Amino acid sequence: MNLFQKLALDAGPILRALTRSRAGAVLIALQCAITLAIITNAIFIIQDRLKKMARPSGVDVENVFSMSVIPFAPNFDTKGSIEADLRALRALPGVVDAAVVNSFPLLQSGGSSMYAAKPGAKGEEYVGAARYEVDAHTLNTLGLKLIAGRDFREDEIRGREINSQYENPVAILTKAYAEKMFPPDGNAVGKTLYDGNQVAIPIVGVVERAQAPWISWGELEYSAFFSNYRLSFARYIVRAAPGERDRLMPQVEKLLSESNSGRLIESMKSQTDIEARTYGEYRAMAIILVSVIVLIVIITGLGIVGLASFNVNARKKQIGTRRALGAQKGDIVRYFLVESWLITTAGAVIGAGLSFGLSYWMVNTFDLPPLDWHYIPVGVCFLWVLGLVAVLVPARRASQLAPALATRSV
Amino acid sequence: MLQMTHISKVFRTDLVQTHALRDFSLNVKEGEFVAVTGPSGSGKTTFLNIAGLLETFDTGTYLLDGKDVSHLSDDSRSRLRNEKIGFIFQGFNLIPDLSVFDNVDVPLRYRGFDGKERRRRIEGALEQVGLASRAKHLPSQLSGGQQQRVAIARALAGTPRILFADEPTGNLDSLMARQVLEMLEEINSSGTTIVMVTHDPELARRAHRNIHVMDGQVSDFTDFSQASAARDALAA
Repeated sequence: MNLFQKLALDAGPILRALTRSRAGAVLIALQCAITLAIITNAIFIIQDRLKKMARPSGVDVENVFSMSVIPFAPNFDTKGSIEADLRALRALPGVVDAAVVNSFPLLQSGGSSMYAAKPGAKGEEYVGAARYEVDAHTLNTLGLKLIAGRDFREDEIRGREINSQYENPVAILTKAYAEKMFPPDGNAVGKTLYDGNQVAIPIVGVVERAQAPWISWGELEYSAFFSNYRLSFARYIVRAAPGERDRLMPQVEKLLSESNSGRLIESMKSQTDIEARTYGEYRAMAIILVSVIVLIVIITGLGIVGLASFNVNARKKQIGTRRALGAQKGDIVRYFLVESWLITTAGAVIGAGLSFGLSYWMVNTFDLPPLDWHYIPVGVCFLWVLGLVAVLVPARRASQLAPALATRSV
Repeated sequence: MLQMTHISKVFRTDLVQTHALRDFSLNVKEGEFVAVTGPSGSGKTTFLNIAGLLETFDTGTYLLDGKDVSHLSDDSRSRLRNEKIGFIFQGFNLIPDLSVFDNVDVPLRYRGFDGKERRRRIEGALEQVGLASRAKHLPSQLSGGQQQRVAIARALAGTPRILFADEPTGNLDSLMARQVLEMLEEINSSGTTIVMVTHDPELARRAHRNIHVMDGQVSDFTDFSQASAARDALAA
C-alpha cells in the first residue's frame, strides 16, 4: 500500500472521530479560516502595492533632482532670475540639462485640468489630465521619450503669472492621454486640445510616458505638457550625467544661493527620494501587512502545535493502545498529520469563502481591486504546509510513546 | 508457541534499580490457556508486556511462534504484534471517539487489508461476540461487559495465534465476568493460545495451567488440565 493510499485509509475514521470530539478542532479550523482570509487579502494588497510601486514614472529617476524657487525681494525680476539661473545650471559641468516646471511626476503637488478634443464639447467629453507647465528643456531634463511629433521650440515658450491665461500655448501629451482623447490609435500630433475656456492648444508631440504628480489618481498616465511655464511657484529640475547627481546637488544649491539673494532655493531633493517618499505609505502598509501575516501565521502555527500537543497528552493511552495493536511509529505520525490536514482543510474551505467576503467588503469600503482567485489555492497550499509542519514535532513525540502504555494507568 | 528462557528486565532510575523479571523462564504450548497470577508488583504486567512485545528485555531469549524476537526492530515488533498477537486489556482500551465498527477496524487497517476483507472480518468478529447489532454505537453507549466484548472482537478480528489478556474481568461485575471468561474459553477451544494475567484465583482455576509469579520469577506451577482430566476419568 503506498503512502497516498495509507493517508486516504486513515482519513475516514479520523474524520468521523473529529466530528464527535470537535471543540478544539473547530476552533483551530476557524483560526485557519481567518488566517487564510487575512493572508490572501494581505498578500494581494502587498502585491498590488508592489506592482504600483514598480510602474515606471517616465522620469530618469537616478539622475534627476529638483528644488523650489521662492522669490521674496520686492520688485523681484522673476523671469530674468529664472532665465539666469537656468543658464548657469546648464553651464555647470556634469549637468545634462535644466528646466523650469510647475510640477513633475510623483511630486505629490501639482495641478490638473479638463480638456476636450473638439471645440464646444459637453461635460462628459472633457477628460482630466495632470497639467505640466514647462519650458523647452523639460522633456530632455526629465528624460521623457518622445514617440511622435517634436519637442517644444524656444520661441513657443512663455512665462506666465499664475492666474493669467495661456499665451499661444502648444501641448505635448502622454501616449495614454493621446489614446484616450484621440482613439483608437492616439494619433494626436497636428490636432487640437481645448480647455474649459475654449482656448485652442495645438498638439505638437506625444511622449511615451509621464505619470501624474499623485499616485492616488485613477488615471496616473494621463498627463499633458504646455509651453507656458509659471513665474511664481516655479521649480527647477536638473538632470545630471550618470553618477554626477550627488556631487552636483550641493554644488547647485551653493551656486544658486550665492548668485541671487532675492529668492530662496529650498526642498532640494533627488527624484529617487521623491518617489521613495511618495510611495512611503505603500511601503509602510506593505511592511505592516507582512508583519501581520508573520504574526498571524505564528499564532495559527502555535495554535495547531498547542492542539496537537494537547491531543498527544490526552491520548497517551490511546496511542499506546494503537501501538499495541500494531501501529508503527510512522502510523502514529501519519495519524496526527492526517488529522491536522483535515482540520486545516476544513479551515481552508471556510477561509476561501471568508477571503472573498473580506475582499468584497474592502472593494466596497476602500475601493481596492477585487481579490484574484489564484491567491486562494496558493493560500490553501500554504495553510496545509503550515498545518503539517506545525504538527510534526508533537506527532513525532506521540510516535515515541511506548506501546506498554496500553497496560498502564495513564 | 511462547518460549522464554532466563529473561531479565531491570527498570533503572537515577537512584533506584528495580528487577522486574529475573531469570524468568516459561514455555507455553500452542493451544494452551495459561493464567499468570501473583501479587501486585510481582512482575506479572512486565511479563505480559515483554511476552506481548510491548516492551523489550535486557537478557535472555524469547521465541514467539518459533521466531527469536530478541533483536527485532520497533517496526518489526509492531508488525508481529499486529499479525500474531491479540490483546485484551483490563480497561478495555477502546477509542472513545470511534464507533464499535471502527474500533475493531483499528488493527486491521494497520495490517493493510482491503476494505472488503476488513468488513468481513469485523462483521464476523462482532457476530462472534454477539454485538453485530451495535456496530454503529460508541463505546460510551455500551455497558462494561459489552465494551470488553468489543475489545475481544478487536483482538479476534486479526485471527491472532496468541491472545494476551490483562485482568480481562477486573472491571466487570460477576455476571459480565463469567460471560467474558466463557468467551475466552470458547476462543481457546477453537485453538487460540491464551495467556491471561489475573489476581483472581477463581478465574485462574479455569485455565489449563496456573503460573504464579513472585519477585519477578516463576514461583509455582499448577496444572489444572491434568486435575481436570483426572476428575473427568473418576466421573466416568
